[in-house]
Amino acid sequence: MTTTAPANTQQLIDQLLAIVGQDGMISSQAELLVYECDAYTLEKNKPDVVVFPTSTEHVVAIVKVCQKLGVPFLPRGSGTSLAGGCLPVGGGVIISLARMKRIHEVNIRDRYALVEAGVINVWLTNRVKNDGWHYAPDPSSQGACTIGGNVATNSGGPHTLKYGVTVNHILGVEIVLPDGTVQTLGGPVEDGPGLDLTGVVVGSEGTFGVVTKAWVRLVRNPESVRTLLGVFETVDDATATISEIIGTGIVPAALELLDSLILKAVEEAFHFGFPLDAGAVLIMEVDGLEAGLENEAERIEKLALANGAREVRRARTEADRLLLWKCRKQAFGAVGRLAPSYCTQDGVVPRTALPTMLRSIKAIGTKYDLQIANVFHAGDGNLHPILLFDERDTDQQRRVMEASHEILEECLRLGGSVTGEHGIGVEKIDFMPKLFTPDDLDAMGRVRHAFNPTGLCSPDKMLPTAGACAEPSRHKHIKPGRRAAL
Amino acid sequence: MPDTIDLDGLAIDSISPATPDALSEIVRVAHSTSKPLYWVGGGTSLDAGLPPRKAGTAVRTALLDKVIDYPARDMTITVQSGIRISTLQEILAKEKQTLPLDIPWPEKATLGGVLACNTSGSRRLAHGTPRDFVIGLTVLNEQGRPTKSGGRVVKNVAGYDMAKLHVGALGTLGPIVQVTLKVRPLPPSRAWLAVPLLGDALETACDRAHVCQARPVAFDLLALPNGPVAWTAMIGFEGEPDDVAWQVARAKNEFSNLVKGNIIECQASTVDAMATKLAERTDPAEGVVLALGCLPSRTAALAARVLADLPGAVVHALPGSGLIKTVTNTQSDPRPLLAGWRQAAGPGGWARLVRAPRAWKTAEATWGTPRPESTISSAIQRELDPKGLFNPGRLLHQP
Repeated sequence: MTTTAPANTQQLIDQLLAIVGQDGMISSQAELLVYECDAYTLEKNKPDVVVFPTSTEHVVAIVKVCQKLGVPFLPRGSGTSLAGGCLPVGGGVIISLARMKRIHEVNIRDRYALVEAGVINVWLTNRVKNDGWHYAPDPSSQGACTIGGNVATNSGGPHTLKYGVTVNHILGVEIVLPDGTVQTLGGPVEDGPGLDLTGVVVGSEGTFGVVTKAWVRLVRNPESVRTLLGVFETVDDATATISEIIGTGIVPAALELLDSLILKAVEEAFHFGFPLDAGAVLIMEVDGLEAGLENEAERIEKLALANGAREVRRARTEADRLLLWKCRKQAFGAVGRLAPSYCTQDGVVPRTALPTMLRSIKAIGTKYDLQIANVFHAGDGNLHPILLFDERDTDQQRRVMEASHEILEECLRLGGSVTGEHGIGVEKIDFMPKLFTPDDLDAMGRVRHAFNPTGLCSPDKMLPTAGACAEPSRHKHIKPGRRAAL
Repeated sequence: MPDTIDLDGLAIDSISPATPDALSEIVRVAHSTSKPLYWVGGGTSLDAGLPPRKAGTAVRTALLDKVIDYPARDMTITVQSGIRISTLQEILAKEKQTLPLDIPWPEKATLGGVLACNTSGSRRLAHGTPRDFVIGLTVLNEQGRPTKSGGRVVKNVAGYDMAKLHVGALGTLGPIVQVTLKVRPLPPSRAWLAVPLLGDALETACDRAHVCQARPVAFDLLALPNGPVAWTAMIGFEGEPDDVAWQVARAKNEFSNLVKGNIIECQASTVDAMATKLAERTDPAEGVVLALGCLPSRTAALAARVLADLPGAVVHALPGSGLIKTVTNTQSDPRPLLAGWRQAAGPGGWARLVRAPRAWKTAEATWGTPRPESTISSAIQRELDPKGLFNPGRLLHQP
């Protein structure tokens, strides 16, 4: 682990100051506290400095200073990572892209936009929606997270079931490599010669360099939408419905499950009118051309009823629909009504294994005497079990960590993954040797070495260092207050 | 017994491992003896990239064609890389599923070859390209040991997405052994319209396709020698029967004032074959093939330029993706045209020789001037193939 000696720090600060000025830097210990973690708060470490470049040239100069002084650095968007992707493990410099927030170009005819890394996800859709277009990846945190951050983690969202995740929508990036050179990878012209470097940069969690701009695909809005709410007595009935819908060849725009515990919190917060005695509800959305869409909605309705739905409601107006999505996307925010603290996981299982997995989660909750709420991207098999606890109770913390671990182990046992969209970060790095062999990890390490030979860019992320323990030893001394943002 | 294969002008011995372990052993031995290996799938794109120069051994993957796992209700399938595309589609069709890539010569082409060459066709407009379907990949490293990335679930961000590097790498980063794909439901209804365009309607047709109320899954432009019109727009639709019927009617109306003669509605039974046939038009075993890329808005003008420069050539354009392919004969060397085409393709645009007599396939003609980022590609190649034994010299400007 690289650390920065104090004497070196002053030299670092002086040189960075010359690049970004006093207004573009944070170095006081009190202010740095904000940057000691992201939305994953179990592990914390303050950076030595945070800088706020406003141009690619700034980023280049910053990276060159870091390389010259041998100081680790890492990019940060809005800090909404739920996996510690923005945690400055070895200290060093956080390069915040928050002030690089210009939308440089919107080209509807050629179906792309060129944005800076700090542009907030939803800004782009807001910019083009009146023309009838949108930017498809829509993580629940889209009102806060940056497109640069989405590129780093290959973010998903409810509508990625039909439209694909971030990597399916990134045409190219401008990246400042760890040696300070600027490269343009890909771009709006498709199929250029050479390796698909853009594709591997997406999801590399900031370990290949600092992405400063992205060319993103714009997608035409569907002509029509039908949003249905299936109300079920049991989670089992809801998950059986999901399998049935996918199995019959319908690809909904979104398929989201909320169980009774999360419904209670969401209803208290937003007063949508959810039935509080239901075991689970499913938000089922189909979109496309008006012709034929009603048929598809009716098929889904019938499938839900055949699988035990008590009733299937329709969002009658756009306002109804937007409120329903607000409830879903801000569900995590409502969890505070249930418990002082919570921990959310991001496991994935094959869609047909959802009923088994949900039963396992329930059993794990009982075993550890914990309440676990579920709100997740059911159509993708991407779970977000929310483990409720009180951070003042160290025994509860221990049980939460053990239960989380057991849930992810079960995802692996069922043929899934430990992360569908939040990333490995530092949080799940101990699982990497369980998912991948040493040879797999070696190949990934070689690609990282090609981009980042000194290892100073985002050290100790994504790949475990040689000899790392597969057990969550780092969680033996849990710091309190693990909260998940949106 | 090894047989000999002509690999774009290089005659070398070939072997056909029957198991991944046998392939591993071949790679291990090649590494210890520093002998190059050339991967051969169905042999439909043996001349992809630069002609090989170093003697070595061709390794045929066709026997590695097993289905490992097909949980149809999860809409994923795991197969070995040597499986033929037509076989794969037949297996998927039994479960009313499909891999919506339009691959020329599907009865020969293998999945591994399709991924290595990043082959796609008309319906990329709606469904994307091979990179969008691969959710898990196993390749062999230089020691012959399997290395995997991704997994078998449709959403997964654990580890680097190595599959993105391998798709389109022409096998230069290692042989693809096993692939997990996400697949799509087979659309219950499909249709194609052939719209013969008025002489001056090319640009307008492309603009209209961009905003038309129908949402075609394919919009191609085709110029055939001796046709009744210079350009025909081929428009494909998929979906529920009501939906497709509405779109067909709508598109007929929207394109009605651009038509010379009549719009022809193709029979549903020919729909899948149509996309394949379109792809095969510009993928002949003989002839010279060139490809160009530009922004979608420039496609019509660039396609017209190509046809003007090569009268009598077959030209197939995908205006939604900004891609053009053309087939001409071997009578005259088309390389002098490339510089002008690259300029006309605009910023980021490209033009290259895909298939041609070996002597014409220089690095410049095949891949264009090296781009700055090729230094990263070279570094990755050195990392993953340190001795330069995997399809050496074929991609970009390898030593």
